[in-house]
Amino acid sequence: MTSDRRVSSELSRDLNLFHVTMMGLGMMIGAGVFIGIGISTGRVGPGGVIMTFALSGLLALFTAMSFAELSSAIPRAGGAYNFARIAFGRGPSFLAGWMEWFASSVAGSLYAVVFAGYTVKYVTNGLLGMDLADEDLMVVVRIVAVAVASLFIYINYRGASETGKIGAIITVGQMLFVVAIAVIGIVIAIVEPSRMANFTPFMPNGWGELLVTMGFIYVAFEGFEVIAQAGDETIDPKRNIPKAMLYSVLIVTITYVAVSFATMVSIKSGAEGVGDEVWRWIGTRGPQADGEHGFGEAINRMIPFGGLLVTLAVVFASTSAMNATVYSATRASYALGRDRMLPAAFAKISPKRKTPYVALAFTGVIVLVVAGLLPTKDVASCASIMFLFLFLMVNLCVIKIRRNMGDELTYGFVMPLFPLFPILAIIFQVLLAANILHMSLMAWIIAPIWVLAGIVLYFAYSRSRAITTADEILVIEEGETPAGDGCRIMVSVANPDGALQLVQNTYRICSARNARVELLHMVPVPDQVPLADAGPYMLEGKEGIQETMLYLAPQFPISTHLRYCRNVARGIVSAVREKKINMLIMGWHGRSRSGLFHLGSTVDPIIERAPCDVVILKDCGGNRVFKRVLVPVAGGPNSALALEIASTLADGQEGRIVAFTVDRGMGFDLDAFLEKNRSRLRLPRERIETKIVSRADIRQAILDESQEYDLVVLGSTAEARLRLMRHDPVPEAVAKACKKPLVMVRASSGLRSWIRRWI
Amino acid sequence: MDLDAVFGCIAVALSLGLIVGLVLWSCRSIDRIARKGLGSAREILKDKRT
Repeated sequence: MTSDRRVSSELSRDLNLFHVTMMGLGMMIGAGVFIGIGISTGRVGPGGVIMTFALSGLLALFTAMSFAELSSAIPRAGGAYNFARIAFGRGPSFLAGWMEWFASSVAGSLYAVVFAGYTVKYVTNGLLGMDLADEDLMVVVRIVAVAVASLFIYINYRGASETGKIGAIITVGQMLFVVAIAVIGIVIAIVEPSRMANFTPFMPNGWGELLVTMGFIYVAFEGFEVIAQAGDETIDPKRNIPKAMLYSVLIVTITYVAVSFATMVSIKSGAEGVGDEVWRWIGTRGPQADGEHGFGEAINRMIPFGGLLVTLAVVFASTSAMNATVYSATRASYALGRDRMLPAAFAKISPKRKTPYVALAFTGVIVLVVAGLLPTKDVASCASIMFLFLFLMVNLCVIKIRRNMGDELTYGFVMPLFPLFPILAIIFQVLLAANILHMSLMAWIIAPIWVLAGIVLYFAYSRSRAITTADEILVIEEGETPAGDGCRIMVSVANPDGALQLVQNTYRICSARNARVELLHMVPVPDQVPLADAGPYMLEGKEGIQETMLYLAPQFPISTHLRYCRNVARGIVSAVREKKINMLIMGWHGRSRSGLFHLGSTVDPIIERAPCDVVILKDCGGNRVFKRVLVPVAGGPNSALALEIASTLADGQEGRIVAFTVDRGMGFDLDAFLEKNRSRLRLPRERIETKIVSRADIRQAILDESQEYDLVVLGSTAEARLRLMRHDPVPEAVAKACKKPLVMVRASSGLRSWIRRWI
Repeated sequence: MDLDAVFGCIAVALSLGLIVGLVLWSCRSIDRIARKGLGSAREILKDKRT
């Protein structure tokens, strides 16, 4: 991380407890539960599958507590790799990163295979009515799995992935589906108690099988590891990261137990084609009669369109989890390359896409090979065993770090009865890993080979080349915030050219409000690169901020902020909130690249959510003098702010404002409106004219009128966004089509106004 | 009566109860540390040692 005397760099923290909890849940409810229930039922029976999920949840909670304690003390992104480096040094740290890379890659393969398995089955059986032989079905599934994985590797290369808030929405959808299944199952059991007979025999193959199934489905509980990687992006990480880990394990365990129960009572004993032993039927569905499709087929019989709904749930769950695992794996190998434990090429960033393409390419090879060659059961076992190894190491780390550094670190969470839970976790993780041998011999060949290869690689290559990282605990430099309680204006600077466009008008507005200025540049960093490593991305923004400072610093109290973020709009809104800003000023290029947005993917969310006045400038650069300013007025707070900004930007000597409205018989009194807002205007009343026209097409009326003016200042729409999904509101349509310099404003609105805009 | 079912149900209930209890206790502990200031965790560790 770099900083100089005046410009400070910071990380954008815009994920709250809900977002990070959902991030963990999104990873967990991926594929494990969809294939785990069927396969486990075949081995341990109807009662055993419920016990499998309950006991695995408890075991996962022990490890989650270790993660929570370490993440609360060391909230830097990095997870197990970072913890191992602090606890045991380079060698074990390399091994942790090496295992994390493989575990996440194989989990990505698993999600691809499950995605393919469910969709191919639904399309061939459900839609086309084909009955493919098991061998043919498996070939098609492999091909589709490889194609889907390739697509997601490409998406990761493009640097586009959904995380954080959008990911949270998808996860809520997944959760609703899974919870709905659980509720329906419980209602069925209450209405028809005879279905409880499906639980007899409770454990047909004995208790010993429990350890096998618990080890096998462990991958379904590994999501909290991703939460540890979000430390750099989370608000109040010492509090929210540990809580999110614990909540996600709690929610997912209760959900899995309830869904397993629902699956077992989904079919009536003796139903056509099922026989008396429902659990045996569920446990033998799938191409290899191993229960892989047991969950889907059971739910298909429980609810109308069950097959379609399960397939859709698998598609959503697997795609979001696959995306997250691919970037998580890429990030792990990138970190190894960055610290020279793998060749430096792994840390190479694509100049165009800004993604670590070499790390991604090698990750892609692992994902594709595993997805293309291994059966689903072996892929899941492989992922589980590798996560068991990794989490075992984290449990060792928590003991070592508490003993050696307990007094030096500032913990946000201290686990009770230490070291009971990490020791229990270690013992059971060894037991589970050993018992996976009964499920998949292949997993027990591949996983140790990978670990041994890592050890050999470390001693042969990495040990002599590893570089010392700057520090273990990241210190973030905070820019000085100007003292005092006056008006605070934040100027969002995109690049040096944009900075010069903003300077002149910012100067006028700041002078009028006697404001303190905070310059902000958001540095977007792709998901595959930890935010803490984003230094190379920020040069352009730093230059832009320095350009702006040359003009503004002599006149106003000023502070500067460079922030790294995943999404520019979210980053700006969170900065506005944190710094308690009264007004945000930013530039706009004048077009929207996507039909989904009115003004663009950055400007739209800011207009919606920024808790302050927003001023957006289009083509207002240079030393322009605004002698005639048009202000379309429709009443309301945005129009009042538009008049105030227009009177500020208009030339002090000769500037004139025309308040313009289109009469549509609504009884709007323009003169009364001007009188009401007179105190906000910075020009004498005689230099403010009014003009009223009668036209059906308001947009065209404003555009025609604007031809005669140097500047157009208009308020953003106050209509509900949900009603505007299909067409641009008038102000936004004018803003896009207007050829003159234009300023769009939106007045700060309270909660009631925000709600009104959405409903 | 199927003893496996009896012990199985007890194991499930205990596991879920323990999970809920530990999560609630931990979250209260996190809030307490945050309220008293992050340094208070250091005091907790010292108390445990003595």
